[in-house]
Amino acid sequence: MLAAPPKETPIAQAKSPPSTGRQLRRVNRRRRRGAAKGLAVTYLSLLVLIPLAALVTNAFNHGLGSFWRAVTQTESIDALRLTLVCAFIASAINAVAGLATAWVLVRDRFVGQGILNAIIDLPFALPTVVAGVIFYTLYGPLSPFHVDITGTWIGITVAIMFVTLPFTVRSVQPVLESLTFNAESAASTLGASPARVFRTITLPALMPALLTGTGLAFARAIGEYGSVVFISNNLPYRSEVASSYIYSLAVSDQTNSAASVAVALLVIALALLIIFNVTAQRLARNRA
Amino acid sequence: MSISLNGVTKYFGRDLVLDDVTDEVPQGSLTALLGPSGSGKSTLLRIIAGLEPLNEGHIELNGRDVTNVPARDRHIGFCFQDYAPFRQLSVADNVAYGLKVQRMPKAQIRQEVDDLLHLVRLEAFADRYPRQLSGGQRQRMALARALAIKPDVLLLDEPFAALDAQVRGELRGWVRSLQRELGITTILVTHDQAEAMEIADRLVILNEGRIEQVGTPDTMYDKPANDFVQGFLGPITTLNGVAYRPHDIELCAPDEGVAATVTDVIRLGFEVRVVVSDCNGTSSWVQLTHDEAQRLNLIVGEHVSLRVRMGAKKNRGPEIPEVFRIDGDEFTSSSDQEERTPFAKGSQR
Repeated sequence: MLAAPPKETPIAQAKSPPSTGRQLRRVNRRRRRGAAKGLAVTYLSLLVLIPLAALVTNAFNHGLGSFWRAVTQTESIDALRLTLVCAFIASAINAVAGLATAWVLVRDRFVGQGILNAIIDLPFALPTVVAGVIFYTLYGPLSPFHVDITGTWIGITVAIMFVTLPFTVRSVQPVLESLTFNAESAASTLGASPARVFRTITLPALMPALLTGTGLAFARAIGEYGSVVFISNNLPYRSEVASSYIYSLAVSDQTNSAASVAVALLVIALALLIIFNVTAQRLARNRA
Repeated sequence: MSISLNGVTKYFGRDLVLDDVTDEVPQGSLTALLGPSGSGKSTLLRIIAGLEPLNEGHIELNGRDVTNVPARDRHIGFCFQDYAPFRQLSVADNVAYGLKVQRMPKAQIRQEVDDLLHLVRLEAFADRYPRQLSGGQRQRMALARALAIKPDVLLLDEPFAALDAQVRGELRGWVRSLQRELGITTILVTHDQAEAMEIADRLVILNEGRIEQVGTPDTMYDKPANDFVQGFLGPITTLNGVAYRPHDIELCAPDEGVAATVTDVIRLGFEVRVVVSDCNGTSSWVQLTHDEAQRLNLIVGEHVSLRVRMGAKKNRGPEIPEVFRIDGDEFTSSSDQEERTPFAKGSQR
C-alpha cells in the first residue's frame, strides 16, 4: 500500500531528447521536483497515513454499529466531553496568557528576559509524565500549599495549560517581532487611546498567528495523557479524559472500542484544526 | 499653527541625537528638515508629534506648551515613511479611522471620507485594501488619513523616498499645491536637497543633531553659512582654493584666468561636466550647457583657462552677516554654533 515511487516523467520520454541546455535544465528540475514529492508522500504514508488507516480499519472492524456503540457509551461521552471542555478552557486561557507572555518577551526589556525566553520551551522538552508527577505533588493530596485539585476538571485544565503554553507564545512571538510600531503610532496620532490601538491595530495583526497557535494547543490538549493521568485520578464518568479512557479500553483487550473513541477524537481534532486554519488564513489574507 | 522648538535635546542611551535644537516654524509654512541620514531629523519630527519623548527643552504649538502632551492629544497629522497602512482595513476605513475615534456620526464620516478620497484622487479605490495599492496611492491614502482629523500641523517623514522617480516628481508638486491650498503648517523630513529646494519655502539643515542653518532655499543656496551647508545643498568645486558652484565657473581665453588641463568630459543630458586639473594637479570641475560644450569642442588633454562667471554668486565669505533679511523675514544663520563644544556623534537615526 506504499505510495508508488515517482515515475519517469512521461513528457521527457515522449519528446525527442532535450537538445538545448534550457530544455535539459527544465527536465532536471521536473525530476528533482518529482523526487521531492515522492519522498514527502512516502514519508507521510509511513508515519501518518498508514497508522491512521490501521486505526480507522480497527475502529470499523465490526461495522458502523459497533463503532457508534463504542463512541456513544456514557463513559466514552463523558470522557470526550471532559476532554473537550478542559482543552477548550486551557487553550482559551493560554491564548490570553500566551499573548501576554509573547508581548512581554518582545516589547519589554527586563533582567532575566533571555532566561524566561528559554524557559518557555521547557514544557516541550520535559516528559509529560514528569510534569504530571510535579503537578500531583504540588496540587495533590500532599500539596505543600494545601491545594488539592486532583480529580477535578481544574486539575486537568492546569496540567494541559502547562503542556500547551509554548504553542501560543511561539506562534505569536515572531509576528509581534516583525511588526513595526508605525501603524500603532499612526493610530495614536489619529487620537486613539492605547487600548483602542491594541484592539483595532495590534490585535488584528496578531490574530492569524494567535489562532494558529491556539488551534495547535487545542489539538495537542485533547490528546494529552502523561501530564493529566496522575492529577485526574481517572474516575470514570467524572475525571477520566479521553486519552486515559482509550488506554483503559486498550489494556482490557477492547482494542476495537479504543480505536473507535480514538477515531472520534481524531475527527474532532481535525475539524477544529481546519476551522482554525481557514479562519487564520482568511484573516491573514489582507495582510500583504 | 506655529510651532516653536526650544532647546530640544534628545539622547538615545548615551548618544546625543539632538543637541539644543531651537527653531520657530511660522504658521502656514512648508518647512523641510534637511540633513544626511543620522542627523536626527526623523527623531525631531517624531518628537514634535509626541511619538518620542525628549530629554530637555520644550515644544509649543501656537504658544501652548505640549511637551508632555501625548501624541493622541496633539492633533498633529503624521505620515510615516512606510505609510504605515492599517492593512486589515479598507482604504475608506483607513481614512475613517481618526473620525471613528472622534465618534463622528456614521453618515458624516461617509461624507468626509468621500471628500478626502476625492481630494487625494482615490475615489475609485475606497473598497480596496492597502496591499492592492501602488506606492504612490498608499502615500496619498496615508495623507488623506492624516488630514481627516483636520490637524493643525502636518508632519511628513521622508514622504517620497520609497517612490520611483516619476511618481515622486508628480507627488511633490501635488503635495506642494495641496499644502498651499489648505494652508496647513507642514514640516517635511528629507535627505534629498533637490526635493527640499523644490517643495519647501523654508529649509532647516540638520547635521549630527545640530541646526546648521535656517533660511529660504534661495538664501541657503547662495549664501550658505558654512562648508557643510554649501556642500550639502549643491555641488561645489574649488578654484584657487576658493569654493564655487561648478556652474559659476567658465572657460575663457588664455591669460584671462587660471590655467588648467581638461582631464575628462562627461555628458549628462543637457549638462556637460568638464573635469580639469590645474598646474598643482588639483582636480576640479566645471558645469557647462551642452551648447557651450559643443562650441568649445573640448578634448581630453586640452589646455584651458578658468575664471569665475560674471554676476556669479560669490562663495561663502566673511561679508555674509550672521543675520540676514529675505522678503522681510528674519532668519538667523547658526554659524555661531560652531564655537560650541565639539559635538558628540549621534547614533544612526
